[in-house]
Order: sequence, then structure tokens, then C-alpha cells
Amino acid sequence: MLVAGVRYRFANGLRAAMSIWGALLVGFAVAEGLHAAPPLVAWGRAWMATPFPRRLLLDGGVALLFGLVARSMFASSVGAWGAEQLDVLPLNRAQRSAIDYFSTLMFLAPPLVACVAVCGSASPVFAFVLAAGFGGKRIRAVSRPSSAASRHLLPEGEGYGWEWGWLLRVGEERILFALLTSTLAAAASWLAIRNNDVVAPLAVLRIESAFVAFAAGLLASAISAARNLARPYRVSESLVPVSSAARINALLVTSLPLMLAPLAAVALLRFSLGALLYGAFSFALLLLIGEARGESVVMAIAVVAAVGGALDARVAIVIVIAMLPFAWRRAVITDATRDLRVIRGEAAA
Amino acid sequence: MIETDRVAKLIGGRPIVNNVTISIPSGIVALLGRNGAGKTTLMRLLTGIWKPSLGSVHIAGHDLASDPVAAKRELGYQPEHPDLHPRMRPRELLNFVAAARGLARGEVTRIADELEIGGLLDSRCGALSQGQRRLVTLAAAMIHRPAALLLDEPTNALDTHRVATLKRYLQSERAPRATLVSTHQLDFVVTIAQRFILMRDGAIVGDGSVEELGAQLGMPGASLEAIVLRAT
Repeated sequence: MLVAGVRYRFANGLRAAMSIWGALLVGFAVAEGLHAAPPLVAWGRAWMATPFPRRLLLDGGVALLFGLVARSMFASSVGAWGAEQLDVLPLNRAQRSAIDYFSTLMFLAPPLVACVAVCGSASPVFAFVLAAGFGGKRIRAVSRPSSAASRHLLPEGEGYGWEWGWLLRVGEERILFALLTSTLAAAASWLAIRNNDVVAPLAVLRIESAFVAFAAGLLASAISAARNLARPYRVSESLVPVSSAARINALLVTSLPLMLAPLAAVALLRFSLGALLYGAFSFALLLLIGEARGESVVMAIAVVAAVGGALDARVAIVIVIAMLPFAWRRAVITDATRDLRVIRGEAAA
Repeated sequence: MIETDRVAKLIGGRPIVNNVTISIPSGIVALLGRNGAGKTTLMRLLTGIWKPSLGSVHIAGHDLASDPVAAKRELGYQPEHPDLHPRMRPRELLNFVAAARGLARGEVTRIADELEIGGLLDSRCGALSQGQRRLVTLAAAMIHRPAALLLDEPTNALDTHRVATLKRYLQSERAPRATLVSTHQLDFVVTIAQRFILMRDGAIVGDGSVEELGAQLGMPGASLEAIVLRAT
């Protein structure tokens, strides 16, 4: 049963979700080719060198981060029916949990191997075993948007205020978990690089950039998933013509406040301004891309951006510039603002 | 076989399904109502995908809340949307369902033959038409010969031949003992269902045969369409 369940997960999206890690592995290969891997290796050594009990916080932060990534990628890749199928089968709680846990562990195998290689130690296995627990808990696809489930979420009032609250309500635990996780990841990274001397000063900025970009991707992915839940209420864009500038403006104004918590945490932890700006800019672009391409693409690009940030500031800038056409395409073709305005009109009616 | 006792589902404080009590011991029963009447929500409550806010659901005598494994052994469910992962093959799905239900692999071939989808088993789901995907989900719902079957919009995207196949299957000896069909296709259900449950705003507003519903509504001799238009 367990093997059949994991194979089902593999057929039903796990294989596609795992392929996203390909971007990370390619990033590592490129880093090796450019002889730019030392920042990542240094972070790995710093992780290993952090003394107990601080190390536990670091392990927990890494586990939470990867656990949420696992859950997020599953949600965006497995599809709604896969989850419903599991729900209607006569499986007890232990069987469901085991299928979820081992599927997650399998999903985390590529980054686990990479971490073990970078750190030169098997110690990260502990963090990944924990991560499978976080990611496997109630890991399932986001249910197909149900008119009954989302009808009550129709916003009320005017202005952007309700849109923030609405996003939080629709996104539920995914957004809150992303906020918590990105903040913890930032704290764990800070602990690693500030509390031991194996990291060179130049590497610090790159490591910070990597983590902030990754956290930004995580959050953008969660928000994109939340917005996808509103699709039953999205209508033909021809109904409400809105300028591209207004669309971008509304999307960012709606979502940027959600990034404030991890950014504030980064600032409080005395991360550099450069990393802060890089993370904020990445987040904004990833959000736009998420609207057009979906959460899994956001995560793939975030991984590339994170690796780029870890390599070199110039690489990071090139990656961010490369995102612009995606983001602009999103702004021109479709628009969440229009949908939200239509929703507002329906609610008023 | 399928029983609910004052089931209600509140979402955001609003009743989506309100105080619904039904009993379907056998036969084919149609669930009818407007869009948003609560049909799919009721279906999800009957499958255990959602938990009711109030009341209870029993499948073949098993309480879905306290004994979900036993209840789901007797239950088959075809969801409204056949969302199969594009890279998955129908055989992979059906093999897993068979394993989860403790069936031999041969059952996959059997149900595929019965629904005439044997040729689709090794295709990618992404390459199948909407109607073909629906048949795959139907096979997953019926592979274990359930005692109670729930079908949510089963004829959507099916061609005339497939609808006829489905109709024959539901009227055959192999059919489940009790089947609840949620649909808007009146011409389909009127030929196979013996009983019709009408829903409006989450509540049941009519339950019976066409003749009984006509009498209840003061419309003796009315067609099912006229009754549905009036009552829902």
C-alpha cells in the first residue's frame, strides 16, 4: 500500500515537482564551472560549524523552509483530483500519513543530496527528515476552487484594504506559513553566518541575497496559489478595461504588505540593504510571474534567482532583468485587478 | 444505503447545506437544482471530503465520521471535475485505486473492458479528451463494485455512445445498489432515475417520483422540467 501510494504520488505530480530541483542542481553545476561555489559551500560549513544548541534552530529553520517548499510544490503540481481520490479511498490516518511522509522525503532527495555534498557531512539528513514531517503533514493539493467554499470569501468594502485581508483569508495557512518560514530561514541564516568565522565577508552578501530571494519566491508562490483560488470569480478581461500600469500597481499594492514581515525581520537581523532590496525586487517580479505562469514556475525561478544571488551580484542582476519580460507579459495579457474590481461589483450588486 | 440525518454545512457562517435528511436504500436517485444550490457540497459531505458542521452521514450502515474506512469501502465517487495529472496514465491511477481497495490487478482490466476504455489505459491523461478523462474517473469510482455510488455531473463531455454505455451499466445487474446522480441533464436522468431530490438554497424542496412531485407542487401531470423550473 505504501509503495503503491508513493508511486501514485510520483505519477500524479511528484515527478514534475521534483524536476524543479533540476534548476538548483544546474545552478550548482554552473557555480562549480564559474568557480563561484565557495559562498554556498561556506554557508554549508557554517551550518555544520554552528554550535549546539543554536544548531537546533538552524536545523529547524532549514527543515521548515524545505518542508513548506515541499508542500507548496506538491500543491501546485499534484492537482486537485489527486487529493480527492485519496480522500475517498478507505485509507486510515496512518496509511495516509505514511504515504504523505515518504512522498515528501522522496521529493526532498535531490536537495538533500546537494546539501550533503556541499556540507561534506551527512548531518543535514536530520533536517530533511524533519522537513518531510513538516511538508508531509496534511500535504495535499489545494482543492479545486469550490463555489461553496469561496463564495463567502467575497470581499466587502472599497479600496485595497479588503484585498489584503481577502488574500490572507483565501490563502489561509499557506501565506501565514510562508511568512513564518521565510522569517525563520532569515534568522537561521543570520545565525549561521554571524556566529562563526568560516564565512568570508564577501560571501555574506551573496548568501543573504540567496536566502532573501528564496524566501521571496516562497511567499510569491503562496500568494499566487491563494489568488488562483479566486479563479471561479474571474471573468473575461474584456468586461473591464484597465490600464497595464493600474494592473501592476494594484497587484503590488495588494501583495507587497505581505512581504513586510520577513523583510522587517531581515532588517532587524542587520542583513544588508542590498540583500533587502534584491529580495523585495525579486518578490515583486515573482509575484507578477506567478499570476501568469503559476506557482511552480515561480518556485523554479526563485531557486535560480537564489543561486544567482549566491554566485555573484552581476548574475543576480541579469536574472532579475531576465524576469522582466515574463512580468510584463503578465501585466499586458491578464490582470488580477480587473478580476477584483469585477468581484467588488458583484459583491455590491 | 446512503443516509444523512439533518446534515448541515456552514461556511463563513452561512449554511451552504441546511438540515438535509435523505435515505436512499436502493435504486437510482437524481439530485437536481440550480447552480449553487448545494448539490456538489452535499456530494462532498457524503464522500467525507468535507466534514458536516452538523448532523451525520451513514454509508451502508457505517458512520462516515466514526468509521470512515468501513464507510468508504462501500462507496464510489466520481467528482465533477476529472482533474487527472497530465503525465499520469489511467493504468497507474487504477492500479493504485485497486491496491488501496485490496483488489487484484485484473480488476483494472475488467472495469476498463466494461466501460470500453481498455485502449486508453496506457495513454498520458494529458492526451485524453475531457470525456475520456471522465470515463477514467468513473472507472476509478466503480472498480470495486461499490454498494453506494455518487456521480457528480457524470455525462458532462460524454458523447452519445458513452452516455448510452453509462446508462446501460447503471441499469445492469452489475450496478451499485444505490446511486445518487447530481446533474443538470434532465433528459438523461429522467430515463434512469426512479426518484428525484430537488435542492434550493442548500435545502431539499422536493423528493419523490415525477408524479409525486407534481402532486406535491399542485402540478399533476407536469413534466420533470416544468417541476424543476417551478421548485428550484
